[in-house]
Amino acid sequence: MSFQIKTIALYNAAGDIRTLDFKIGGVNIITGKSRTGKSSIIEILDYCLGRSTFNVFEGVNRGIVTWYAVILQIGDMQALIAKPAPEGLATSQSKVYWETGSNVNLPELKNLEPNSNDDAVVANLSGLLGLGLNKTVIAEGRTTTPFEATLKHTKFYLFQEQNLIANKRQLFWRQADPFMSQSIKDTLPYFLGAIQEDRLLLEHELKELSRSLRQLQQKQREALAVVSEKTQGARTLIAEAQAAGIIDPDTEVNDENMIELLRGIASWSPNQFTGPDRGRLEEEQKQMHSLRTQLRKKAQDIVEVENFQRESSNFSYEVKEQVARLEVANLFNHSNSNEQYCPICESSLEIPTPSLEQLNNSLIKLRANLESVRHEKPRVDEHLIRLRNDLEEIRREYRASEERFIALNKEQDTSQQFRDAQLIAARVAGRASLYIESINTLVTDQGKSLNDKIEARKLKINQILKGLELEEIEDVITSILSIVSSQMTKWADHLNLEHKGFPYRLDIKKLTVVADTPDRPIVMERMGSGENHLGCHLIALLSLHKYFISKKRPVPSFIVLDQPTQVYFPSSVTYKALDGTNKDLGTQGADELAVRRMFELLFDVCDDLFPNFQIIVTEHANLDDERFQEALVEDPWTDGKALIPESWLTS
Amino acid sequence: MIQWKERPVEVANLLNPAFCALLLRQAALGYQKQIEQGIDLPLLFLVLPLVLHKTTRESLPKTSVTRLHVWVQQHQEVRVGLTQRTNALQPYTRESIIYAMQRNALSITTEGGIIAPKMKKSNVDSLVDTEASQCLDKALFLGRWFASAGSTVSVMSMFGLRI
Repeated sequence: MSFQIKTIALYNAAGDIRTLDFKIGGVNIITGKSRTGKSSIIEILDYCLGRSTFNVFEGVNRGIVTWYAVILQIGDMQALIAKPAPEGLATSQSKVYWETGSNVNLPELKNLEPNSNDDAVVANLSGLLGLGLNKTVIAEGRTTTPFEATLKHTKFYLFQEQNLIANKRQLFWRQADPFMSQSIKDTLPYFLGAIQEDRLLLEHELKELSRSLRQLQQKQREALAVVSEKTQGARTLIAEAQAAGIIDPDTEVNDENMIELLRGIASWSPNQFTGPDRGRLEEEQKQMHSLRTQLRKKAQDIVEVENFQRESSNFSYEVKEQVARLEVANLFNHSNSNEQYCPICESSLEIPTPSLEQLNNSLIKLRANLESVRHEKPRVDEHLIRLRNDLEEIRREYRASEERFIALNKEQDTSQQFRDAQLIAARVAGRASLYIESINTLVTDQGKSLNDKIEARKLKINQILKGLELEEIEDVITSILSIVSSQMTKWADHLNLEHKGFPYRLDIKKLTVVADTPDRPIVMERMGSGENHLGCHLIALLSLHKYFISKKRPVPSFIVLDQPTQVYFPSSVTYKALDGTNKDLGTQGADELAVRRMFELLFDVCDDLFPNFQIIVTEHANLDDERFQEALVEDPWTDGKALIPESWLTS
Repeated sequence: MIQWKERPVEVANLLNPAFCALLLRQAALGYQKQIEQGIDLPLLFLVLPLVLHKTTRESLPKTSVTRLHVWVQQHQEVRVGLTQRTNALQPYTRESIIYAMQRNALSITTEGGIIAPKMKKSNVDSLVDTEASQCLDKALFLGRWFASAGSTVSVMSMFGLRI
């Protein structure tokens, strides 16, 4: 949702408020003589829209205004942003009073208490504008890291101060500040809509997909390595199993029963082993086994008891919580209360509130429960101690048995063989099970072969990569810029610019305007006269805004032009001498026709985009023209009328 | 809403109107301590959803130096499910306001604000070391915080709620 300027307001220390109300969706003109505060409109807007640096009114006026405020119209909602002037000689200030509503009124000075800061305002307004989770695209080889475009980056297209509006080298606001031109180039593709809003999400998805692809490929490689020898490997395994005594040495082996045999080998376990010699050793082994089972069972019992204990303490915690919450009822004075009576509508309640007695009854019940938990606890503790003692006893027996087993093992030669054979058999069984597993992964992995899965991932990755390609963005930008440029060319005709009739275009690499004449392209800097420079600024910015609005891009829909007509006067002295009352510009030597043409364009653009675009113009000139007169915000600022009322300065 | 004694035991006890009323009273106390005004009725409807929800309660800042608007921008996650919780707890808030007013624990000023008149008793023993006492502390804090956060409509819209 885009926004426009509803009101600008200033407060002085006495609590007086000076307001300037603007028309939404139209041209607003403030005209007047020099040094009346016209140019500070841009600074006030910038300061209130989240810039902490304070550039408003350096000099005598500083100290008179205590708060600066702006009301924004955002769809059917309004937001008030008010900021105190920095204290003393400070040059920055970030505290903000922020208020929203369907109809916001300017608060009284005494009610202005900061409740927010610049960062939160920028974040909130960016969100309201619809600046999504975006990220600038940085070409390879650059050292800057990608950053998010915010409200701050939309301001390049909102403000044109008096020494910028006809500047032949700079097109955008603050373009000459350090790093700013790069920041404009990085964010403009996003504002034009050339970068997918979901680029960040796509990049994340891509990362996830690549990782899962790598895992699958690894799995595939491993499986292939195992199965590569195919039947040869399987036959060797079976032969080894026969030698180790896992399967009968006389079993016939063929291609059909091979897998079946391998499955059997893989599922071999020591218990099934029919090795040589049993006797005492096996006896001892059985003993160990039974002790281990007992050990596990006891441990399980202990865990269960402990769980029970934990649950009951949770229960008592829960109950304690309920008791506390019920008991607060005793804080209230119940003596005169009538549970049936509604003190708000002064009638009788359908559902009466619970009485103290009812709440206390629940309390008594809960307390009884709590007591029974407490009683039960010692008995459980006793049981637990017994269990733990048992466990220790069994563990001791187990260790003893284990020692006997080891001793027996050492004594008996045969047992050594037994162990060796068992080890060999276990190794063969392990390899067989790996073989079976590898076949399984390659052939069927949840109904789909590994290969299919890998191919599907690769396809998806390619699709995403294609969408993310930088060249793709270049193409989109080129096509968007051609739309913007054709609009610029039309308006260049309207303004009767020097190279009218030839295509004008926006060069976003050099951040300038170019006219393509048949001989050669002419950049703005090389064009003669201020009129052409002003024209380039106007057609470029208006065309960009028209595009932003048509595509509902997240850029505020207003522009502030500071003293645009100065170029139509013979000298800046004659222009500055105007006080906004003289409507006969011809006598001043001005090109009145050109001035009219320019304002006509501004009015036409606003009408064309109504009610979605707002233009604020500060001027020295005044025009005897119906639309111009209607667009005046106030009477001309002269004879003591100014942004700051005269009475504020004298008192 | 159904009769109190017919509600499920845990709900009846944990969300009993006396406790909820005390939470609202705490918020009103905090508010009037900060700016000597009664709290606006709509703000009371935010108290239970913010204070009784454990995750939200525990993420509230320790001091009101952190501004509400700034904090919400940094903790967008608290807005998840807040509308539903506010709607679900609305009848409880209403019941608790009535409960409190019947017992003179809240009253309405001529300007329409809601204030907490003095009460004789101020503490019960069983509150020590309970979640309930944390809730009461945070409710007091919320009151103070709301008081310095701007207009009621703004506070509601900071949380993404409309009256």
